[in-house]
Amino acid sequence: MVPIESVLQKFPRMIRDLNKTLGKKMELTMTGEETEMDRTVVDEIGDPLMHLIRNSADHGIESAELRAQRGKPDVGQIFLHAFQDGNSVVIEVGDDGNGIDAEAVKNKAIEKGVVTPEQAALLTEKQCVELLFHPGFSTAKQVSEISGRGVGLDVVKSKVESLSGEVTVRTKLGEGSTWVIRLPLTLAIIQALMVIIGEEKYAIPLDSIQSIEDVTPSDLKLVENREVINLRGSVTPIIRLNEVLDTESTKSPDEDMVVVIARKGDQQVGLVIDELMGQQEIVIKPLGKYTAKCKFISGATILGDGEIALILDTNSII
Amino acid sequence: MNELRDNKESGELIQYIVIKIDDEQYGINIKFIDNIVRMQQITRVPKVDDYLKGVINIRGEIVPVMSVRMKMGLAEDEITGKSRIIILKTGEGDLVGIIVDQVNQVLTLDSNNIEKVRYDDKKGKANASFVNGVGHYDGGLVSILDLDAVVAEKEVKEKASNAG
Repeated sequence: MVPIESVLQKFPRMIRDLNKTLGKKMELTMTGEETEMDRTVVDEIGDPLMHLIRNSADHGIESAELRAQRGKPDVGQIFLHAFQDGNSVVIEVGDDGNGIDAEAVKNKAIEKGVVTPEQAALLTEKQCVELLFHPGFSTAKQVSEISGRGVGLDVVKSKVESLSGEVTVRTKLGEGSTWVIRLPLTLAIIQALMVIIGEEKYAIPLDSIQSIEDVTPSDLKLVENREVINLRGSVTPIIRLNEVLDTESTKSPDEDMVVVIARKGDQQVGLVIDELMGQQEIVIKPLGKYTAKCKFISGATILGDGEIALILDTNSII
Repeated sequence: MNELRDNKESGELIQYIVIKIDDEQYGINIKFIDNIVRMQQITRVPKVDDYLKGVINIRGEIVPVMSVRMKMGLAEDEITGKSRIIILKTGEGDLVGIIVDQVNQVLTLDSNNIEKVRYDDKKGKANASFVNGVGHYDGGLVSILDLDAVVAEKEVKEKASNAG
């Protein structure tokens, strides 16, 4: 678990820059920077949040004249609140600006062919606003550098959903809108290959695995004192995971080896394991501060029988 | 050590779980204890300090387990039917387990009956720094474990081979 702070710290600067480019007066307040989330989520959530903040700055906050007309303070407020709520982390991003004009959204949606006029007539105000999440939708009359290129809220939505979260919006025309992102605290359900090394079970994330090969010991060659195999024409270094993980292999040296071919960028290596167990969906759990020191392990997961299997971070092994 | 009865006025009653490590009895303030579990399969984590025995599954949470014996520089744990893992709550709310040889009893001590001790630079046994008080109860003495020292991350003796 890491605090969300690392992602948030660039936003105040961004707002100051936007103040200049947009010629609006805006101020960003943030709370809950210390809220902790899964590292994988924190890494991914930056772009959606930035998108929402830019949206607020560009579409939300009105021009100074309009704010004066509406009797609002001349400095527009943009806020970001992060907090934990039960098993989820909630991030609210909002502004005290325009709010979302449901009618305008509806008309635009009809114009863009997202909904038919008949369908549109049946939509509630809330449903109209949710049309904003439709792919290829942008209500900004003018495309600006900051937002409004149609690669918009649908990307935010799909990103949040890919993290098993959801995004909703609360809005009041003329008073502002708030986007609410709700993410599970322990995310990260991944597909993994379960393997046995020595007597221990480990999980290797499936997305880093290219193939699994059977290698006879006679195929092993030495190049610069490192073991390699010639895998369909490409020389692939071999790493014996039992050595990396300080455990004894249960196989004898003359037996065939099971080699998991993993890649990192354009490199590939063969990781020697003892046995394959199969593919499984696993929930990543953080290891906690004492045991997180091992860089080869990115987390742990609890198997069906309550046993713990460690998750290998192939990137740091390669 | 006679100047150290410094909190006479409070006289607060504190409950301690009395455990045995090696031949000595230690008390752990009950408010830091989340749970006491029987010895179970500990999943080894490679490339960490020796005293970290691995992780266990406590109600779906991954909890590191450390050997107090090894931290104190004693012989490695001998797991018997009486061995237990005491799950402690650290200040930051993390859980951490420590292996003890035996859990003896729950003891209620008056804080007046606890002598604060600080061994600091006294000739000191290896485990002196893990104790921050000695409690008197009818017929016995119990060392009060300094949990901060027990669960502190840095090892007492430097380990060179931990480059990972």
